[in-house]
Amino acid sequence: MEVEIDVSKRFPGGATVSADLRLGGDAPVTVLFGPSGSGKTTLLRCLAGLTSPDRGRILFGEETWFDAESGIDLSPQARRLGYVAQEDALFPHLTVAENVSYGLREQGASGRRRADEMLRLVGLQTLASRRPHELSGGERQRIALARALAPGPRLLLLDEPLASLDLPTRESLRASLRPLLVAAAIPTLFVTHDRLEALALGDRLAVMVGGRLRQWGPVPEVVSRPANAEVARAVGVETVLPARVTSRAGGLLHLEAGGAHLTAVDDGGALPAEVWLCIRAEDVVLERDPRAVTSARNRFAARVVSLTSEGPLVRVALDAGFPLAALVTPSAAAELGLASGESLLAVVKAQAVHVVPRGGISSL
Amino acid sequence: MDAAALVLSLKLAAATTAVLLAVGVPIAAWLAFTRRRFAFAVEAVVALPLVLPPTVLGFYILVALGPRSPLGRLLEGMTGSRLVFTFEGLLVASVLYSLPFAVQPFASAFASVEPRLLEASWCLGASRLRTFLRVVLPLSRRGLVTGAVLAFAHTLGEFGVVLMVGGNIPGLTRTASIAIYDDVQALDYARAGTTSLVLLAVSFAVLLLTYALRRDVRLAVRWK
Repeated sequence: MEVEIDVSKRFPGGATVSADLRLGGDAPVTVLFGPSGSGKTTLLRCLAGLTSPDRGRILFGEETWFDAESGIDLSPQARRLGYVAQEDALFPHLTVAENVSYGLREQGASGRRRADEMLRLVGLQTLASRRPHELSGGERQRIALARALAPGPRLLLLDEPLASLDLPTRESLRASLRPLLVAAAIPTLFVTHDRLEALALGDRLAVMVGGRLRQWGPVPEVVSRPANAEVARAVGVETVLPARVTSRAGGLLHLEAGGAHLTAVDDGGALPAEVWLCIRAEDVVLERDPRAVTSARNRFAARVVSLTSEGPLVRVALDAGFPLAALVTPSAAAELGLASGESLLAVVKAQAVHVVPRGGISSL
Repeated sequence: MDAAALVLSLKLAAATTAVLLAVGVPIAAWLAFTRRRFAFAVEAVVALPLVLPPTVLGFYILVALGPRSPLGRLLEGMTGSRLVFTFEGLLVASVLYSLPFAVQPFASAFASVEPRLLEASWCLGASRLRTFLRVVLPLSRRGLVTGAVLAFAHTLGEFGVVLMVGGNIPGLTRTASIAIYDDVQALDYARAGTTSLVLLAVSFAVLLLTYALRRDVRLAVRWK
């Protein structure tokens, strides 16, 4: 099932949110990514039927959900979707099981079975009789997901479901979410402003900046070929590369990306062979002397592609067999005699190489 | 002590509270969730009994329900009996008089239910009515109790409206507060004193219960 969206909404203050994209089809999970205040939640609410756009259309397959011209605007009830809000919206007066079965048409025994199944799916079947206030933040968000999935929605909308959680909870939920979403096989729009979440969860990436949807497409395409500077800045200009895990040993990960071999620290989590490799520009050290002995594990011969002044720092685009970005101070750039075309050494410590499971098309 | 009058007062207060729960909840729900521009005017009308002298309210009800008004004649034609100087007439007057005491706590309780809970319910396919019954009402129980108790206590203590609409018919429309006034007029201070004491005790007990419920959060959470 494919969802076609082309809408815009103007707010009284003058801010406008507009988007044109398609969800679902052969790519179940689309990540809607962008900085806070870029209009992601507004787009999600338009899809849910909680906010009415001023212009445009939303088509769900053959069905029209919204059409400004003919005045069609289906209620959230009629759209039959699952919506998980950013802040926890469990019903405080109902138990976990009652929350999960709230949207079910079938009540009684078969409803209880379905609720049970959903709780098992999110791994919380032991909490069925608890109340929301007795749960941790991570448990509450998993219950909210189970509640949204229980009635068998046709479209799943997740609005930064992990944003309010502490870091360890967020990381463990992030790891378990992708298989869950793929198994559910429902077109999903997942809103986030966290790059790692976007890379780990999405098949497609849609980037929203300043109220407009700037680019959408397969994750590797958007990340490696941002359509413009705004998208590039939004997804982060740091280096993000598709890579393969060649071996894991002694707490280290050995990786291969674009012909280069890299070493990263292994945090022990489950990893597929296909991963994203992320290096922050400020973690890349540039050197002239190829004989210098350092503790850093990753050393690449690189060529300077371009230099861009960025506030108090200079951004150096490098070609090390793969694109790599570095940030240095202007004085360092001067001492190293940086200029485009120059060759030098790029050095990255193993701890600075972050590895994210690649949830994209290649793993499907 | 005028036992008949006390029983009548309690009966009137209980009936008024029941009617206000049935009538006040829809009014309060409309006030809490409507986006109509004229909602403020409805709010003002509902609040009018708070500031109006009871005799003024009673006077209008007396005229409206009386045999000379179209409304009074219509009701008389439909029921075959006159509403003024009857228990039913008293009930109508009491409901109007205590309306704000029930509707205002109801409405503010409904309005304080988090919008995201309502939206979550809609997205799960529940209609607006089902959402109201399964989410808004249960989460507003403290406001419902407060409104009901205030309406009950306020009806127990009403005097001017009852006097205007009900007259003073023993066993039929003579409530405790009127009986006390009568006894004082007849210089029967002892009888007025005992009736007053019972009324004071009942009113105070009702309020004690309400405020205790309101304070004890643990009790309120467990109480479904």
